[in-house]
Amino acid sequence: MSPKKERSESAIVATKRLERAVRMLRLVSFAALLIGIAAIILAAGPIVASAVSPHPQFGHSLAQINQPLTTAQLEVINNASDSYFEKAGEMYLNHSINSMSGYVAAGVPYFPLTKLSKLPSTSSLVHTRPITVNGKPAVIYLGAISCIYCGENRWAMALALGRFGNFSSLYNGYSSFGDGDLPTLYWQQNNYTIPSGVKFGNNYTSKYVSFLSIEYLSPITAGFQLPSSGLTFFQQQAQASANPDYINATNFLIGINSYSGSQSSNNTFSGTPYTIWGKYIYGGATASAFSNGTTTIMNMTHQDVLNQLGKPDNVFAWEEYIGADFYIAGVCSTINNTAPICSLPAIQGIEAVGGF
Amino acid sequence: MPILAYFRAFFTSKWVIATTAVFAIAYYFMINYVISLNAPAGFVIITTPPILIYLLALSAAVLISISIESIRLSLSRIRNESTGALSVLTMLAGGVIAGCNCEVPVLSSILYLLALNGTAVSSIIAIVGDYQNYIFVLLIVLNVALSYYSLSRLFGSCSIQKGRIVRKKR
Repeated sequence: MSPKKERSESAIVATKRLERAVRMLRLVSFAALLIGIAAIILAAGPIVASAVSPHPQFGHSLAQINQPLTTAQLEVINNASDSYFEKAGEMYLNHSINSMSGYVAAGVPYFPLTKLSKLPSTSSLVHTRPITVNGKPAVIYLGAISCIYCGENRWAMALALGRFGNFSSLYNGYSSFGDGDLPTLYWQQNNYTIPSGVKFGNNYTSKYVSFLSIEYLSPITAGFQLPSSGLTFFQQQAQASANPDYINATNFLIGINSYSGSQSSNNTFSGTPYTIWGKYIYGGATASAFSNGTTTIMNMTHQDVLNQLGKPDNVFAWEEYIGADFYIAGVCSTINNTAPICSLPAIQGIEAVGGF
Repeated sequence: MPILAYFRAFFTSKWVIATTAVFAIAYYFMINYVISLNAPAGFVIITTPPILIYLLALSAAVLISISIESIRLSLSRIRNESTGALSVLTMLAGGVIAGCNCEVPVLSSILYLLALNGTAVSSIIAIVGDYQNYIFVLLIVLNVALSYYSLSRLFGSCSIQKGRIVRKKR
């Protein structure tokens, strides 16, 4: 072989090697990019893969559903000791509880809290002040009987409302089979087989606040459901009911969620529960207490939950009280701390750290 | 060539099987991570049947393996990286959808970024809740369809020799 031909062949071999190296480099860099993205995502947070499994005994039997709470059970909600709210608040403030409720230590909320007065005014939006009913600031609840977070959070809501007034009745309920199937309270007896409907109202009275509850009804045996027309559905149903308070409330909810275009980020609706406590919008559940360390709420009966709330000694009960404290702080800030519960140091502490 | 024949031929390579397995596991964890973003308080609720999550992770992993193999063989890089990116997108969408529950901070944040108002977002949340499983199936079908399309192109210019996919000689 001539030296010239030899040189030419070795050049071809070198070029091929180079091409192979380039191909391999491309492949490795592409794979490294994907693996790097995966590694960053995995390193950034926990991997949680456990789905909620419904309890075979309590939920699916719908035991006691729509039954009113007994007098003794109502007492737990209406007359919860201030000391429980104080102790829970202190535990939260001094970080002695590994809380999944309220705010995390760094001040980042587990739920989005928005002050109405911070919402930008637009030509079509004048609802930047809290609405009042009978001269009292309104607490507005929008939820669904099928919703697991609503089910869990009604316990905290009821505890909070119990510090400003009284429920003459509450009812045993459940979230839907497809959404946790956990024991909860219903504000009223609900039709849990209806394909789609709304229940307005409750049996609550207070001299400080007016409580407006809007509950979406759907089959309890299905999963989480909201009406496909969204918030508009509630407005239409309120108009059909001809109840001026609920017409006003649903108009208000739509009003504060009507930002579009560049102002879209000011909308606060991100699912249910969606509540307004006086001057504050709570874009989610304040308490996310699903376990007491031994068992989950799905494995508890209504009486089990009430026993723990009546004598709190575990993380589930304390977190419900912490969730309640956050609702109380919103009302206290709205009514200038005029209710006795507002004088608790823990409530004032939460008002301070929570930016109320 | 029938669809199964393409897949059977593709998976004769041990390298391909290993790549797919690695990505299937990685995707499964990534889906779970995205789902957990919907539960800032740490309690994760997954309302999608687990089998759909497994199938989505697997179908997305197959798609990206085809993409990687095509790049290795120096077929059209841009097109193959696009299908690879699509597998990541379907996986992320699956994670967002599977985590949809009564509280959906991730989905609503994305929708508000698209300049929608709260009324529209509440409707979308309701629709996603109603059709969650169907949307999941659609994502899986999309991955399978793209895989078939990519494989048909791959085997247009490649063949299997001694358990490896190699480019046909021209």
